[in-house]
Amino acid sequence: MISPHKRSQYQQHALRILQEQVQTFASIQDNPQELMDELRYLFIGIDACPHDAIFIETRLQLINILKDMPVRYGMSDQWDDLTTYALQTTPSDDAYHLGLLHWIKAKIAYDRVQRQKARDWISTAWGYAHQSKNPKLIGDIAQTFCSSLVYHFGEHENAIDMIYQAKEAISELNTPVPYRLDISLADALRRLGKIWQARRILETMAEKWLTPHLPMREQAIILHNLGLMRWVDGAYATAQSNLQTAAHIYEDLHELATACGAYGDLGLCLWAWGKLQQAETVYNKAIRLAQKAGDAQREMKLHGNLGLVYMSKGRLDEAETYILAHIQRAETLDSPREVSRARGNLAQLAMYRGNPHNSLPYLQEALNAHQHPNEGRGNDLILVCICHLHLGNRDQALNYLHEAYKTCDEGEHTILPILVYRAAAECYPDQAEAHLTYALSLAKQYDRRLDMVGCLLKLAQICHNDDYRIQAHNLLQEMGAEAWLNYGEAPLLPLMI
Amino acid sequence: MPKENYHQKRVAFGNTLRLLRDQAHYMDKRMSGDDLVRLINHKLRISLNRPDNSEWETAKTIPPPPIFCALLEIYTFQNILKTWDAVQDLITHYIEVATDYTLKNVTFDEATFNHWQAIRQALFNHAPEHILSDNTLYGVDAILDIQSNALLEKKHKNRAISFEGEGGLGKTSLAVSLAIRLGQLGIFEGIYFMGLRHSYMNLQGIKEHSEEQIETLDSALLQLASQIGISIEQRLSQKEKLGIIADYYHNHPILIILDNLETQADVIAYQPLIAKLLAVESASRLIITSRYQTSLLIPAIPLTVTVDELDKINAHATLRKYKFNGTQEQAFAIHNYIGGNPLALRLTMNLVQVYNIAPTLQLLEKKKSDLQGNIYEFREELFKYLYEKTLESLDEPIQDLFICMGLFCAMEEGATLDKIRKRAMQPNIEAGLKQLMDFHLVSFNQSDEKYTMHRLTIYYIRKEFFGKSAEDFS
Repeated sequence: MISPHKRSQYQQHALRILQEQVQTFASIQDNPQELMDELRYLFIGIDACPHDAIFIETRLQLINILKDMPVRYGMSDQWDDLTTYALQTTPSDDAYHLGLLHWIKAKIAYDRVQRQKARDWISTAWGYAHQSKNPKLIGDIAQTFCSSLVYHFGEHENAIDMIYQAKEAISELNTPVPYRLDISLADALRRLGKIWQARRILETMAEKWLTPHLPMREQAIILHNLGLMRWVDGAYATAQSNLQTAAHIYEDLHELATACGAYGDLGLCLWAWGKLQQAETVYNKAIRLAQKAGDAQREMKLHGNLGLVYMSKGRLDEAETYILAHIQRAETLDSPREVSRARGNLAQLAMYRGNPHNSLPYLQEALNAHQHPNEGRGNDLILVCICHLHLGNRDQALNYLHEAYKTCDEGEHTILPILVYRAAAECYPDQAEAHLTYALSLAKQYDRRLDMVGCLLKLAQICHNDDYRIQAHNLLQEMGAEAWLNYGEAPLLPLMI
Repeated sequence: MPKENYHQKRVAFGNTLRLLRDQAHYMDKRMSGDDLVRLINHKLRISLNRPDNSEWETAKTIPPPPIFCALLEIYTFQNILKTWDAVQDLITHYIEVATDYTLKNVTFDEATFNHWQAIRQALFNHAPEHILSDNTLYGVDAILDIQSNALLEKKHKNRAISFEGEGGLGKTSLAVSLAIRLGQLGIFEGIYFMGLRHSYMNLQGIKEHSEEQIETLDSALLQLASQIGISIEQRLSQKEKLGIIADYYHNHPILIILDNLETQADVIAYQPLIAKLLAVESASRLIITSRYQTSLLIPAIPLTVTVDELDKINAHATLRKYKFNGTQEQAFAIHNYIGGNPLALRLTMNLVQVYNIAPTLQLLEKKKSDLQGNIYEFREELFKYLYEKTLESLDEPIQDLFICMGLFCAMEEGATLDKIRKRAMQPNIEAGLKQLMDFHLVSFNQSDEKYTMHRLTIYYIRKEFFGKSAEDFS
């Protein structure tokens, strides 16, 4: 039996260890592996004297040091316990620490996809953050709150309000607004179809923050987000450059999974641009990286995207092979969202093959998953419209087309109108030339090559114009997509963003 | 090639196969034809018979390319084929005699050779071999023989095994021994150990029934993925995480040890993982250790082994291993008083060292008559008594070292000398460590130079420190 005297000695010793340990963490914060190794020792026996005032203070110091480190990976339970115990001993007038601890609890719940729990914790944290008048805490909490509202609840407008409130509160404290708030804001705006606003925000942010003095990882984060937004806005050349640089930085930093994600986004950019050969090369590289990083989910998605590249090339049999593999892998990995996405791609493939009979339910399912008037929903509206048209349901097709028009009007879309006018040409054959001519001009403006070919082939057929046909053939050759010529004089080319 | 020449080459090829097999091992013996066929069946999930192998070695038939590649993998792993040149020579010979097949059918290339060489070197990186370092088990060879063969059974029915029984009996050691025995054959690409204590012990080292056990499994899945070297995003659903693990388990033959399911709540928490892995058609295998009868909740576990206490003969052998020099009758008397729990026997030897045999027997007899209650309470009290008596005999600085190690040094995973020194109350710890090792309270693992403690020893320390009396004090 341990005597009270000895117990007291051990407790004091435990305190000394904890204090020393806390001091050393700052020096290893850039080395996640070393940090995890140290934490393994730290978390054991940490509560040797939980009611001692020095312990309570030291524990808060520890939480402050660890709050921005990746302790949640593999140490989530212990981190959760530590925060819970700390909350029990934090005085009710210590707004900063109460805000911090509630925020950490919210992040843990958010990572675990416990939607309501995360929202409850972060709402409380938000109140404390305002009381604390700490700009960093306000920014951090607003960012997590925004993610919760956007990704868990689809409340994009509330998320935007939240970010503006945070920016105002931080400005009032005469502190620069952190760039990550702009990234959150742009993300929420984009999901509402406000692409122009979203891009402006990121362009301005990048101009201010992106300097050679910024740490490489931070540069990569800014470039990655900027590249994504430029891609969505059809600025493919600059988007390509941004995404490529970001991917290289992540790769140099040995963050393989993140690098793989950036290469995947670069592949999407090149694919949308019509640089199909390059897209194929980039996807193959991303797949190799995913394998190296042991990221089966990402590998599966990349295979699916490679299927879309083959679809765009008109190599429909190869596309089918990849899409079927995507479905099979998604089923094996128990990922219903990906199964549904892959089935949507298969449905499109069937439609381009002139066999839309089984496509409608899957396209409709994909449409139902997109509730906000963004480019994703717009794209799905077009696909459902075309499917109905091919099935002979013209009235239904027109309803969807008109909703897609409305989406363009309400949002700030650059690429979606091209698809809408191409679809309009299918729905209104008597006005096809006008719609296609306009779609072609838009496609040229953004250098959307596959859309250009789609318009040119149809126009060549309608107007009996060989120049259009020659231009289309040249572009197809340039893209490595000559296979489309096997599908008739003017096949329906993919309508995809 | 002239027919005669071809025949000679074919006979020579058969002889080479025979020579390679003669150098290979299966468990602790030379590999027989039956053994080799068992391994190939396991690797390729097919059902060959013994005569197939005889026919290859006597040049009556030539193994098809998948089987030839499986042989190359096994012999590369066992380091019988030591260089890529040696493998290339064998492949060239194979192509010359296997006229039905072309080179492209032989998928074993230099990268595959390097892969299996690397597996050989890294296979046990995550297996807690240190658990075995001071814990030789008696009377378990037959169990290991039977169960290792059962797990490699031809029809792949037995994809999992559960070792069940109370603490201190050596379930973990049995599981690790089995994994090492199987791992040395060259049919698994990795051995991974999930000790539930890491994910399920609170900050004070006490096992708790969490209200949110699903998160415990979630964290465990992330830890397992990290060991395996696959990437799983935390935001994925548990079903998706399980899907990724199961996908790897399906595509790569691996061994997972799920150690220390202590309670019904543990079994319920880990049931989704176990059920998922059991449902996967695979050459991978799952080994579970549990204090709870897992089959009550997961009847699909095909093999269950109840680990019993040692009988008096094996108890005597165990005592002798710890330098017991008393008579057989005295050893049997110890067995009569405390039973055949190997850890309890080991701790009893500390008393023998301090008090000699006869007084120890008197102490144990008295303790047994004092201890009332059911068998579980008896065990708990017995261990507490043995630890207390052992501690009493140690000098105070060594007691301090022992307590500090149990409280602050993550001894379940092992701690280096440097780490222990930083966390002990005084810097000169070598002599203390030696005495703790002499008293079987601490083990040292040569391969990673780490000190470890038995889980029950750590529990004892933490319970003493954080138990009810500690709360009163605080």
